[in-house]
Amino acid sequence: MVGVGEVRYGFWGRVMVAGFGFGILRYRHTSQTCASKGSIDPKSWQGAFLNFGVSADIKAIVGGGGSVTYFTGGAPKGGWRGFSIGFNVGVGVAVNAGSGNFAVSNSVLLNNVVPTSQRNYIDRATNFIAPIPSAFATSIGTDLINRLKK
Amino acid sequence: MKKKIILLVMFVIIVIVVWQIQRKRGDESSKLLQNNVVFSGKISKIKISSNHNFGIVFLQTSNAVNLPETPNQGNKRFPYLVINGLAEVYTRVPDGINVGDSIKVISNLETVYYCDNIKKKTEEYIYMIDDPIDIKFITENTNFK
Repeated sequence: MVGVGEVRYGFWGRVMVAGFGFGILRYRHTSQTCASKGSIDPKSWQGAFLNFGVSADIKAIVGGGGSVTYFTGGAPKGGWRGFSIGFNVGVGVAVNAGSGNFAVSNSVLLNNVVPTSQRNYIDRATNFIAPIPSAFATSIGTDLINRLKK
Repeated sequence: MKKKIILLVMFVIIVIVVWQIQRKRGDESSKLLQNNVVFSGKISKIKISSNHNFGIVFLQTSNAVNLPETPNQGNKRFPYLVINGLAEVYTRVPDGINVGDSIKVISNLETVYYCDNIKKKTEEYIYMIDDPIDIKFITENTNFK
């Protein structure tokens, strides 16, 4: 799954060359108390999100920065809420002394949902190390296999 | 360093404000749903959007009581609409819900209950719909046009 919609460019004079982030999610879902049906569904992650964040360079010029974002999406009750913390490295001369940002983003599901128990270890490892390229690769790979099967 | 601390404090304030706005939104929704509406039936069709599994559950019902006079309350929309025994429930649709499953809506509890033919039960919140994406989905996919 990839968050799409926030593109930063221009005024910092900096090109982001790498990025890493993780999220601490809180998801309230009444059906957690019920039978297995309706347990947390990855498909429910996709959709619109509001993001409020701040970012700043940790060390000027060298190009290390950090950001923290609060995001919210879905219903007032039982929707997705959380924080994501990100780090980035960049090249360029600009310095981000500190900035705030607000973004509306949309998350999309790139591939079919497959239970972890049915995924091989390579898939799990690549997904852990590089979730975005892994999602693209799995999506394109699955599509290719399906086309070859036809 | 001082600027970064100010920035972080501002961030905390923004989070608290957003959190409070959402809580208020939830409280207003709860208040409007305390209207004693209850109905149940069998699911005849399901349509799900790509916005956090929000969808429309279609059913036939013969026991709807205390229905609101209008489908809207200001810019918010009730999470259900019943006309001549045909009902639609607007909510997130949990995974595994199928046509033929039983469904019961109890508005005061802000909950929709699902039960399939092997008696597995699932429940989900209902809430006043105010997200423009969800309202657009309802407008485009409702049978009540």
